[in-house]
Amino acid sequence: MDDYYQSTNNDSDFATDTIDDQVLSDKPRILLMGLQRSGKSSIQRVVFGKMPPNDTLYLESTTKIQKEDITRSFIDFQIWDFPGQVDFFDELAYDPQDIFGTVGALIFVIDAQDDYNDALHRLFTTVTSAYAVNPSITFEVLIHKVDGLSDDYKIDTQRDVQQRMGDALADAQMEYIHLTYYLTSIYDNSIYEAFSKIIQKLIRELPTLENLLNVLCSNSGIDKAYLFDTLTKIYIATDSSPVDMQSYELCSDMIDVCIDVECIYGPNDLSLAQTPDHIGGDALDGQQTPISLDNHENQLHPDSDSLERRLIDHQNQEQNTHSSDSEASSLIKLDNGDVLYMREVNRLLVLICLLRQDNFEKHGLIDYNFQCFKEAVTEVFEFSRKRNTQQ
Amino acid sequence: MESNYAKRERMSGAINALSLSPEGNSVVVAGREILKILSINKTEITETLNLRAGSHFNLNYSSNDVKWGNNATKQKVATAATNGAIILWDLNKIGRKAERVITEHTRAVNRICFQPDNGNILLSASQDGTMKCWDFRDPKNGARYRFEGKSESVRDVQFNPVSMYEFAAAFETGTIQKWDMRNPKALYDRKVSAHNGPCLTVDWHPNGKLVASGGRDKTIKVWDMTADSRRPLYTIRTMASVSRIQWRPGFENEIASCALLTDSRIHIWDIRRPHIAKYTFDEHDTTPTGFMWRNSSELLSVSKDKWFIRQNIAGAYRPFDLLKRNGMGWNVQGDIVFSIDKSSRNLFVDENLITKPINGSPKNWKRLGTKTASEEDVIQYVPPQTCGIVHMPLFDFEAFSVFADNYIISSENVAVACDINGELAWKMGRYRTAQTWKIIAMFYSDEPVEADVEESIQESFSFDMDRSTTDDDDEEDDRSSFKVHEEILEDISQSSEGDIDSLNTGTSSHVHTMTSSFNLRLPWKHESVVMELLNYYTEQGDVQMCVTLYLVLEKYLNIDNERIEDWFTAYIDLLHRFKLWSTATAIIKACKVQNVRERNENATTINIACNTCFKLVNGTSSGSWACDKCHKLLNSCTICHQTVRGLYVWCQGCNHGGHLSHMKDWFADEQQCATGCGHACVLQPLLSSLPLDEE
Repeated sequence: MDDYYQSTNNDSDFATDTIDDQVLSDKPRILLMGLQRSGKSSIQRVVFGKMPPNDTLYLESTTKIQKEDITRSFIDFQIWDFPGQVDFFDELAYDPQDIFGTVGALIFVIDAQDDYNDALHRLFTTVTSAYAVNPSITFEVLIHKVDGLSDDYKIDTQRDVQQRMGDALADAQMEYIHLTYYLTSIYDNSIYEAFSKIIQKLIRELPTLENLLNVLCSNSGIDKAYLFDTLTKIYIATDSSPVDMQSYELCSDMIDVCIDVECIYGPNDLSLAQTPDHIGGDALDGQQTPISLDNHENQLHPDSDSLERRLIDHQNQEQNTHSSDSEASSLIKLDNGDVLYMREVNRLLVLICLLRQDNFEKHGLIDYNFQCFKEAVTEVFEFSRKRNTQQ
Repeated sequence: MESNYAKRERMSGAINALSLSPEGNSVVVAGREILKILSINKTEITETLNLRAGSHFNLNYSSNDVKWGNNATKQKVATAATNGAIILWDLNKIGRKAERVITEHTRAVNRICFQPDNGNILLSASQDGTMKCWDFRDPKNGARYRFEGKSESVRDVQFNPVSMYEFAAAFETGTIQKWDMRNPKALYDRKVSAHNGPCLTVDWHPNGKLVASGGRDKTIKVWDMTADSRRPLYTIRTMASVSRIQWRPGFENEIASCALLTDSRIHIWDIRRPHIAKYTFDEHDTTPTGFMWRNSSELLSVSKDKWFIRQNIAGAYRPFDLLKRNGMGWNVQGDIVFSIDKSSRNLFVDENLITKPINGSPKNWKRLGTKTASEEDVIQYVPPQTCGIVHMPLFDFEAFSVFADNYIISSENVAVACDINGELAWKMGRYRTAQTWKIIAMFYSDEPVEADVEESIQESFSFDMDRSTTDDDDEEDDRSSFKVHEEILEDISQSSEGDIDSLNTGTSSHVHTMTSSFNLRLPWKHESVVMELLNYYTEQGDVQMCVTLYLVLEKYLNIDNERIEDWFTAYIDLLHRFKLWSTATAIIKACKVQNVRERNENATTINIACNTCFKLVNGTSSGSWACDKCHKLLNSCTICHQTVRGLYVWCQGCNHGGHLSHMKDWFADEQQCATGCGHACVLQPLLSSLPLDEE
C-alpha cells in the first residue's frame, strides 16, 4: 500500500523535487554510525523504509556502506548506513575527507542495553576525527534500545553517557564540540521525534516555517500544528509551543489512516497516469466538479485510547491558479472534544492541526488561513530553491 | 462555598501568561488578543487598563509571556511575542503605551525575566536556542549579552533571587543550565541533564540554592545548584507533563505545578512527601497556562478558557483526605498483609517525625528507591504506619505442591496409582484424602480383568463364553476376592439412589441370569459414587483432587468436557502460580480436552542459555552456537573444537566429550581423556558397544 502511495507521488511537480540528479551526490548527508548490532540499519529501515519494528530482528548485519537517497520524501537527504564492525579511521581505505566532507549530520547510535564502554570510545574517536575534517557537522548521539529500561535507568544512562563524553572531550580540550543526546527506541515514537529534531536542524527554512505556524495557530485558535513529511511521519516544523507525545502520536496515526483511506478511495487516475503532466492535463480537466467521493463517513473501530473517531475523508479537486494538484483533507473528531484536522500542503507535506471543537466552528476561517499558509510555504520553498540554484 | 474562596473574571480571549506588580495589587494578563491590567483588592477584581485598546492587530502583540518590571521599571510591563518580538510597555505614557519594540530573536520568545531588584535588565529565552540580556538604560536596541546554550530551544529562564547575576535556563533537550552573567567565558557554569524529553520550566527556591524543574516526563525535580551532585534531591511524579512550577512563598517545602495537557488542576506538593499532592485547585476548564502566588495563601491563575481566577488555599481540596488510609493484599500462600496509616489527619507532614539523616550513617534513613546516598540533607517524610502479615490456614500450599509433584496421574494401573497417592496423602496428614484413595483403590483393584469383562459383556455373550472357558483356572483363584466385591456392590446398590443406577443393576442382574458361569463377575457400577466424590471435591474447591482423580480413573469416567476443562484450567492456573511448571505441563499433556491441550500448542518458547555464563543465546541462524557474552562456542568437541550439532558423547567421569565419531577415533587407541585431564574415561567400552559404525 505504501509502495503504491510512494509511486504515485514519485515524480510530482513540487518545488523541492527539482534537485537535479547531478547534484545528488552533493546532497546533505546523514551518517549513521555506531558499533555493530547497535541498531543503525533498523533505525534506517523503520524511519525511512516503513519497516515494522518487529521485522528488524531479521535484518542481516550491514557489511558495506549503504547509501540511500531519500527522494520521495520532503527530507531530501542521503542516508549513509555504515557497517559497525569497520573502523573508518584505522583503515586507510577510507578517505575521511570523502566521508565527512559534505556531511550534514552524524548520528551515532549507542546500544543502551549493552555495555557501552567500547561505544563511547568509538564515539570519541569518530567525533574528534570528523570534527577535524568538517567542523560544521552536527553530532547527534542516539542512546538507543531504551525500551527495555526503566525511566530512572534511562535518565541515569543518559547522564552517564553525557558525563563520560563530556569528561573525555574536556580532557582532550575539545569542549567546543557539541553533542546532542536522545533516548530512542524503534518501538515507540521516540525515534521519530529524535529524527524530527535532527532533520529540523538541517532545514534552513525552519524559523520561517515555525513563525508561519505560530501565526496560523494564533489566528485560527489552533492548539498545536505540525507540518509532517508524509512518507516518514517526521515533523519538519511545528509551532513554538512544547511538543507533547500524545498529540504527536495521534497525528502520526492519523497520517497512516489517511494514507490507507486514500489508497482505497483515492482517485484512480493518479495511479494510471504515467507522468504528472497527465494529472495536470487530462485527468483533472475532466473533473471540474468535486468528485463523488465526498463525505463518505467511515465508522472506525474505537482505538486503544477508546476514542471513537469519526472520519470524514474527502478529496477535493481544487482548481486554483497556481497548481492543479489534488488536495486531500481529513477531519477526525475525538471523544474528548478535540478535533484533528489534516490538510495536504503539497504532495510531500501535510499540515495537521489539533484544536478544540468550539474553535473549529470557524471552519471557513481556518480554511482561509490555511490557504494563506500554503501559499506562504510554497513561496518560502520557491525562494530557497532560487537561492540554491544561484549558488 | 467555593465562591467564597475563588474569584473569577472572564476575559475576551485566551490568556497565555500573567504577572503580578511589585506592590501586589495589580496584575497584568496577556494573550493573543488581550493585554490588560487588572487591579485586585480584597473583594473584587477590576479591569483598570486595556493596553490593546485602539491598537490594530499586530503579530508583535500576540504574547507568549508577560512580566512586570520592578524598581526603575515598576510602571512598565514587558511582553514576549511568538514572532520573536519583545515589547516594553509604559503604563504611565499617554497615548500609545508601547515604549520600545525589540526584534532581535529570529524565533519565538518563550519566556522573559526581569532581574530582581534591577528592573532595567531583562533576560529572554528563545526558541532559537539563545538567551539574550537587555539593558533598558542603554538607548541602543542591541542585546547587551548573548548566551548560547548550545542546546535546543530555551523554554524558561529565571534569575536567582539571592545572587542576582546567576540565572537558570531550561532546555528542550531536557537539560537545565546555570549561568553567571559576569562570566566572560561564553559557557554555562553548570549543566544538569534533568529530564527525559523537554524540560519546560525552572524555578529558583527563595534561598537561592535549590532549583526546581519540570518537564514533559511528568516529573518535578529539585536540584541543589551549589553541590556537585548529578542526581536530583527530590523527585515528584505528577500525572501529566509539567508546564509551570512555582515555590509557595513562605513555605519552603511546597511547590505548585500545573500541567501542559490533560490535567486542568493546579497541584501544590510538599517535596518531603512526593507521592501525593498536598492541595489541589480544580477551578479551570482547560489546562492553566500560567499561575502565580500573590501571597502564601492566594494563587492567581489564567487559562485558555479565558478565565482569570483568584483562589485561596482554603478553597482547595486535599487529595490526601480522599484517600483510604489502610490497605491489604493476599498472596497465593494464603498470607494476608495489611498496613494502617498512623499519621495524624491534620498534619500533612508531621515535623516531629522527620529525622534528619546523620551524615555517614544513612542506614536508619529510609529513602525510596535504590538511589545511592548523597551528602545532602535530603529530608523525606515517611508517614508512620503499622503493617503486619497474617497467615490464614485456608490453603495448605505445602501439601499441594508435594501432591502436585508426586501424585501419579496415569490411569494405566489404577490400583497402584491409588495406593501410592493414598500413601502420600497419609504421609502429608491428609487422612480424609488418603481414605478416598483407598476406597477408590478398592473399587478398581484388579481392574484390568474386570474392565475387560465388563466391556466384553456388553459386546457379546458368545465371546464371554469363550473367555470364561479359557480363563476358568484363573477365575477359580480370584473367586474369593470377587465375593468381597459382591458384598460391597450390594452395599452400594442399596445406598445409591437414582433411576439410572437401579436400571444398571437391573441389567446386570439380567446378565447374571443369562451367564451363569461367571455370575460373580458383576460389572461394578460405582461411577455414581465417584461422581459424588468429584462433586464433593468440586464443592470444596479442591481442583487438584478432581483433576488427579479424573486422570487416574479416566478410562472409567464419562464427564462432559466443559466440566473437565474447568477443573483443568483452574488446576493449571494454580500450578502456574506456584511455579510448578513441569507438573503443569504434564497435566496439560495428560488432558484430553482440546482447549486445554492448546495451551501448550499456542506458543512455547525454548530459550537456550550459555552453559558457562547462563546468558541467553540468541537464536539467529548463525549465532545460536556461540555465546555473545563470553565469546565461547557452546558444547564444543574436545577434538575438533567445533560445536557439536548432533549427538554429544561425553564421559560421565570428567565431563569431557564431543562428536561421536571423533570420540570413537580417539578411544580406539587411547585410554585417557582427549583434553589431557588425565581421567581414564569410561567412554571407551560404551563407544565400542554402540552399533554406530560408519563403515
